Amino acid sequence: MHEGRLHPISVAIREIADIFGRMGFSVAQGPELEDDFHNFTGLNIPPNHPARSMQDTFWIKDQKDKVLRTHCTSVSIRALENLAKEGGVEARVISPGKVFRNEATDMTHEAQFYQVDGFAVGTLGTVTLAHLKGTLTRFYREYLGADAKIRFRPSFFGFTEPSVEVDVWFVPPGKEGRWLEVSGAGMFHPNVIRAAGLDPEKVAGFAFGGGLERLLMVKYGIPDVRLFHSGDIRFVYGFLPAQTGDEKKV
Amino acid sequence: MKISRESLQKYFETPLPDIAELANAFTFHVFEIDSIEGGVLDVKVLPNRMSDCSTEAGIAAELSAILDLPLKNAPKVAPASISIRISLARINGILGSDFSRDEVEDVFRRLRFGVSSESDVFLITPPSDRSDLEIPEDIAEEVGQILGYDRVPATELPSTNKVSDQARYRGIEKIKDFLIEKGFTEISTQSFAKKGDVYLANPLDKTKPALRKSLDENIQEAIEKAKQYAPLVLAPNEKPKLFEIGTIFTKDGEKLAVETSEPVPGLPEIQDDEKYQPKRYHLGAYKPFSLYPFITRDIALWLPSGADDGLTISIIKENAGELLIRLDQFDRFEKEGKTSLAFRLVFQSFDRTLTDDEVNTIMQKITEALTEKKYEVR
Repeated sequence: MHEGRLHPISVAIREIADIFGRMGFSVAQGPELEDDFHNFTGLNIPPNHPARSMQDTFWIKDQKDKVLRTHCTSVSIRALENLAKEGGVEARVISPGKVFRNEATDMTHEAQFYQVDGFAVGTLGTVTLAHLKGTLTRFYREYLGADAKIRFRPSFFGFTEPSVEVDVWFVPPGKEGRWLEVSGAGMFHPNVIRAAGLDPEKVAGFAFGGGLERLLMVKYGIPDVRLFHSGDIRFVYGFLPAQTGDEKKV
Repeated sequence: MKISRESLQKYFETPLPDIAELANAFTFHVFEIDSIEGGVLDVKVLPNRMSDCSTEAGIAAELSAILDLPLKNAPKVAPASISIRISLARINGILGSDFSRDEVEDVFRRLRFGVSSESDVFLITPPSDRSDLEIPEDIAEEVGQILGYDRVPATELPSTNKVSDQARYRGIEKIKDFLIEKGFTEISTQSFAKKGDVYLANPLDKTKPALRKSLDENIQEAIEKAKQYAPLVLAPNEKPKLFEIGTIFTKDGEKLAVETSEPVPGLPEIQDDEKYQPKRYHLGAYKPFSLYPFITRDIALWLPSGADDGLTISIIKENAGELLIRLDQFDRFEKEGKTSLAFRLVFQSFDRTLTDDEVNTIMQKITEALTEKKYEVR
C-alpha cells in the first residue's frame, strides 16, 4: 500500500523539536482560545500598552476575557507557571502552534499561521542574551545549513527587556544569500517572571518566537502563504519526492 | 518618522557620515529604517521611545549618543526623579557580555545619564525625557544597543541534567505516522467556520464568523477536491485519503480532534509517548502547480522484442513534450512471450486551458512514434 504524506508544517516541527531536543528543550502545548492574562497582561502587555496595538487580535463574542492567541508566548508563561508550582528555577521549552492575527490576507499574510516560541530560564546570570544567540545560532545552522549565521537588532516587546529582532543569513538553493527577519526575542521582562509566580531576583532567561511559514517559504521556495492551510492535496504533494531521513529509509 | 540627513546635520558641527552609514547606525543601535528615499530616512521609532524620539531633536540626540558626536546646542534636560541601581556584573549577567567598566561608563556619559557609584553598583539617574528607563534591565539594554549586539558572543547553553519532556507532542506525531502508513495524507485547514459554538467578536471573513466545532466539514470539502486532483499527484491505483489533527472549539472548551476522510479500523487514541521517535522526512524544493485544468489519456501497448519499460517510457516522454506533467505505468503483463504495458498520461499547461484536440494531436504523435518502432498500440 502507498504511504500518505506528512504536511510540511509537521515535517518542520519534527526537525525543530529534534534540534531543540538535543539542547534539552521540552515541547509544550497550550490553548488556542486563550485568556487575556496569558496572552497579554501576564506578558507585561496590560490594556492600553503600546504593544497591543502592534498586533491585531481576534476577540471572542460574549467572552470579554478571551482571545485567539496572537503568539505562543502564552504557552511559555503557562510553562513558567508550572515551573513555579513545582518550585523549580530551570526550564527549557519550545511551543510550536497555531496563532491568529486579524489582518487582511495576501501572498505573504495569513490570519492563521504557525509560530515556534521558546524560552530557557535558570538562576540569575546563568541564562543570558549570549545564550540566546548561541542557541539560535546552533538551531539555524542545523536547520538551514552550516553557512547560516544570525544577528541581533534592537527592538521592543512588552514581555522582553532587552528586546531584539533576530535576522538569519540564509542562502536559498541557487539564489543569492540574504538577511531574513525570522524572530522576535530577548530576555524575559522581570514582570513576566513575577506574573508567572517566580522571583525575578532569582530566575532569569531568554525567550524567542517566530513564524514558521515564512521560514519554510524561503527554505523551499513556496510562493504563497495561503497554500499551507488550504487543505489542498496538491500543496502537500508539491515537494520533490520526500525521503525519510535519519531513522528509516523507505 | 521621516527625516533627512540635512535636517539631522543642523544639530551637529561635525559632518555626519553618509546616508547609508546613518541608516546602519540607527538599525543596529536603536531603530529600524523602513526606507531610504532621496536622502530621507524613514525611522521606525519604537513605541517605548515616543516620549523622547518623536521629534527631530530627539532623533538627533539619540544619534549623538550612537555616534558619540556632540550636539551643537545640547538642550538642558532635567534629571528624572528616579534612580536605577545596577552593577557591572549584572549588566554582563543579562547580556552575557564581557564589557569593561570603562566601556559601560562611556555609554552612560553618551546617554547623558547621571551616575554615581557605591563600590561596584552604579546609581543611574536618566534624563527626564527617558521615561522608558525604569528598571536595571532597561539600562542593560541601553548598554547592549549602544555598544552593539554584535559584541554579545554566541554562547551555547550548558548541558542540563533536567530531562526534557516531549511526550505529548510525540504521542500526537505517532498517530500521524500511523495514518500515513495507512495511506492517509495530512492536510491543514482553516479554524474559522460558518457556524459553531464559539463566535468571533471581530471576524475577518464575515461568512466565517465562528470557530470550527469539528474538522469534518473541512475534510469533506478537501477530499472532494483531492479526488478531482488525484491524477495530478497519485498513481491510477492509488486513492486519495486525508486526515487532519487540529483544535476544535465546542461548548465544553477546545480539544484536539483527529478526523479522517474515511473510517480507520484500529485508529488509536492520542496518548503521551516520550519514547516514540516521530519519523523524519526531508523535503525537496517546492514545485508550484498550475491552476489550469488537466487532461488525462490512457495508452496500452504490446512491446516489440528487445524493448523494455524504460525505453518505452523514454519514447513516450520524448514525443509528448512539455505539456506531459505526469506519466504513470498502471499495468504490465506477459502473454505468449509478449509484454503488455499500460500508462496514464496527464497533460497540463501553466498558462492556458488545454483543448482535447491539442492533446489528441500529441497522443497521435506518440502513437505514430511507437508504431514506427514496432510497438502495437491497442
